[in-house]
Amino acid sequence: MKSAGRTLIPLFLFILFTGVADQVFAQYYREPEEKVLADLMERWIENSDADIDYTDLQDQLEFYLRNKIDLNKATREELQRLPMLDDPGIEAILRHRQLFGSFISIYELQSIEALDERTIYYLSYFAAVEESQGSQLSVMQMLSKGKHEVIALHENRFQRAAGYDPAREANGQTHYLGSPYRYLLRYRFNYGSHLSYGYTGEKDMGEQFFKGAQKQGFDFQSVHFVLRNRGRFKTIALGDYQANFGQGLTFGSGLAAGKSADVLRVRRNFQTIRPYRSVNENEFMRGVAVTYRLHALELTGMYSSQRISTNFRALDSLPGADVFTSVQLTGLHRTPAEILNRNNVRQTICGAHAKWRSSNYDVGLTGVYTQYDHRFMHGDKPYQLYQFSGKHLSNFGADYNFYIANVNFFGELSASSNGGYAGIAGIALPLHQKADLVMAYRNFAKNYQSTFTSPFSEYRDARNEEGYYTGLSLKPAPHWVFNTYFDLYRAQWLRYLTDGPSHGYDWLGELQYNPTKSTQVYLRYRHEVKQGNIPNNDAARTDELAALSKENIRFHAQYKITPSLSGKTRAEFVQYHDMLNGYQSGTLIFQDLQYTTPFKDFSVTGRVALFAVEDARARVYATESDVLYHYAVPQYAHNGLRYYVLVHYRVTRQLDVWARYAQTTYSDVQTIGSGTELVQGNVLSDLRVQARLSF
Amino acid sequence: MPSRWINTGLSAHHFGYSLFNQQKLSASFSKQLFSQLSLGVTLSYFSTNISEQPHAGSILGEAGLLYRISSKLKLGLFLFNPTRSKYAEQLQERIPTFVRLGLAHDVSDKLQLTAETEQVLDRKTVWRGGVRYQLHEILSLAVGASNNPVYYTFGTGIRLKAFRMDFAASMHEVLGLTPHLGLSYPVQ
Repeated sequence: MKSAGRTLIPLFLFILFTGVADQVFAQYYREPEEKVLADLMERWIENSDADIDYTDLQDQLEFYLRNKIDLNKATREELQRLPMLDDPGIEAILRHRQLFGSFISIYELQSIEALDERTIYYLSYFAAVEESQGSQLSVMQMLSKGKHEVIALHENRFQRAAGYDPAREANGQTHYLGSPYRYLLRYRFNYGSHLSYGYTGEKDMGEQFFKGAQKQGFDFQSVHFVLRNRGRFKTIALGDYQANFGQGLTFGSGLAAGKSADVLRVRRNFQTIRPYRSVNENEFMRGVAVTYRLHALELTGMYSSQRISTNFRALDSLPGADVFTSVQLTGLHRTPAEILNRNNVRQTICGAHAKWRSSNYDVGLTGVYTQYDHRFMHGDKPYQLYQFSGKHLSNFGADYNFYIANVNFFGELSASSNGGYAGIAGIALPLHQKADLVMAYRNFAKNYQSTFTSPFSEYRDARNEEGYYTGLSLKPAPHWVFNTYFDLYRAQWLRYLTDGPSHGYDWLGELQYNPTKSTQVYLRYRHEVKQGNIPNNDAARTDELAALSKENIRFHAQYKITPSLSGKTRAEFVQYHDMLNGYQSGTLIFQDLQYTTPFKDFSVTGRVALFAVEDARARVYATESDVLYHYAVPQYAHNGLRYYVLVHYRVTRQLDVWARYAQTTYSDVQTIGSGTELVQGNVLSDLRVQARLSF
Repeated sequence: MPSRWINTGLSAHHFGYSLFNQQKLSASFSKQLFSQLSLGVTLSYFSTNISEQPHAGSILGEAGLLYRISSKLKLGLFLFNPTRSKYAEQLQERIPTFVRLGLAHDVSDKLQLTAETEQVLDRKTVWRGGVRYQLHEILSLAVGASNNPVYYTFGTGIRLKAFRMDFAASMHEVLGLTPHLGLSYPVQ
């Protein structure tokens, strides 16, 4: 007895002391946060064709991963920001809370019929039941109790692109001034969602570091400070932040998901002001924003002033009349020309938003004024005719979002100071316990102009588009989901590479089978047909329009082989067609394996992908696992083989390290890329190493 | 005209104006063959009158089949002009021949989902899908989509006792909006 007691007591104390008995148990079955994040991100972005930066999108998700929403206090609006919850699920949670009072534990969610096992599983990463005391603490107390995080990343491509060749300068060719390495340094502090501040510094490949144009070190630097829920102040933001109002039509900085396999996700549920921590060097605000609460009324004021990089055209004949023709979206400042255009225009934005909020409705009014210190003049091509030209732009808008019974109505009407209008109106209708419908109509005039927008649409620029969207989600049987959408749209005026008014449509059908929380199989079909130019190689004649058709078929399976070994298998086929190029096909097949040790301190993830793509128009996109907070959706083009290995090791409780090596070998090319990015040979290999210190 | 042995019906359609018009005079017969299966046949005289052209007319057949797979699921098959009749004996042009296969699923008393495929001889296959929802006792909403050509249809139905009014707007990718209005009142 005595000896048994001696061994048991320390064990008991151990469990008590660490206080994580159930956590250890849970950890064994829980996937790492990174994997959950990757899964959800993938669902959000994989339908997008554009090669855009998703770090900001991921940052929003990651915010809730670290600052879990309190199920007992969450408003409908807060719950709507969680990507795994659909409207019926949210209503069910709110109803449950109304009927039975506060949740005692997150496991109580299992008693809600509208939530399936998989949703609850994902939700458990982003929501919790806790006593949050943040707002009662003083700022000094929060500063001493919060968490710090430092991240350093180093990235290298082993093949040198042509731009690094020193001989190019002598030949008068453009060249990269900096080293071929990418560095990223991030520091963050946060106390829950109440207080956060941080710094981000990034040097892209080819940019200078502590010399030349970048004497201060990093080419891109960003700081943010956000304080929430202090008395009547809902948010105080200093430094870099994102601002989004209503449906994102009048004003919305940052990126928002477009049409995707989440067919019901049409309404925007933005957090009005949120800190900016991404490395996308555009589409954010730099200055100050404050949201002040007066009972049901929320007033937001914002001011931003920053220098942006543009394509500048100096007009010698008229001093002071210099113009810029476009904003550089790459954030790359590697060549003398790129450096010359670096931060060459000052952009100032002032805005105000008033929101009247009630439990079943909210209405908002937005006014935003943008000023540039040089004239913005898009080119003089016919398709650019209605685009913004000038130094000043104002936008006004009114938005609404309300519920009648279970039916949700939402929308926004916006106007720009040149007389352009844009509107979007939607309705979300729960038809049945197992059927949900969303319909949205959008009409953006060809002369609607804006600085930053992020409405639900086909084209990202919120102008010259009219469209009808219907999304339907069915749960025909337990574990089965069928999602479909159909979107029909027209452009009144010309668009880039579309020399005439055009129309198009796309539809998606997806059958999903989710037998367990870690197993998912789906078959997805998407067909898009839109009009575009068929070049006639005759400068005197306008190109004629023809239908450009793209079909995607994807089979995807993810599964758990043992508690520590999981896999993903995918086969995707793309078929492109137009009357000039005929049929072009693209195929991608990959296999992923991930091994995680039971205590989550070590994991290794790998992929082997084989791709055969006849033409760039039939390229295939697929997300890849990467070091924490890093996201990329590489496109697979040409023929070849790609593999990567990602290792994560938790050295101590404070220190994590990641290393990722990826290599692509092409079978049908002798050189890769073009211009300064040209690489000799048929192999590309990249190494990314990252360390994180959290304390 | 319902009867114990077979149900019969007569109908007349007119389309067009003085320079171009078409008429269809039809007799329909339907019969429930088994508890789950019903069959219907229509025979018509179809005539086309084009100004300054001789009158054209021919006999046309149609057949339909309705199978109730379960109380909530119905399958329908419709065959139009299986004899490949021409507009008239002396003309080369044939009246289109097509087959239509449709599924209707009553998810609940309020919600019906439909899917249909249509094959017209020598044309591309057409697919259609639709949702019909009884929002209120009086008011129903419908939305549907079709390809080849691409169409969007939105509709509302109003039901006041036996009287029904349907209003729909179809949106064609090129032609734009076309309104449709329907009124019906059954005569017993």
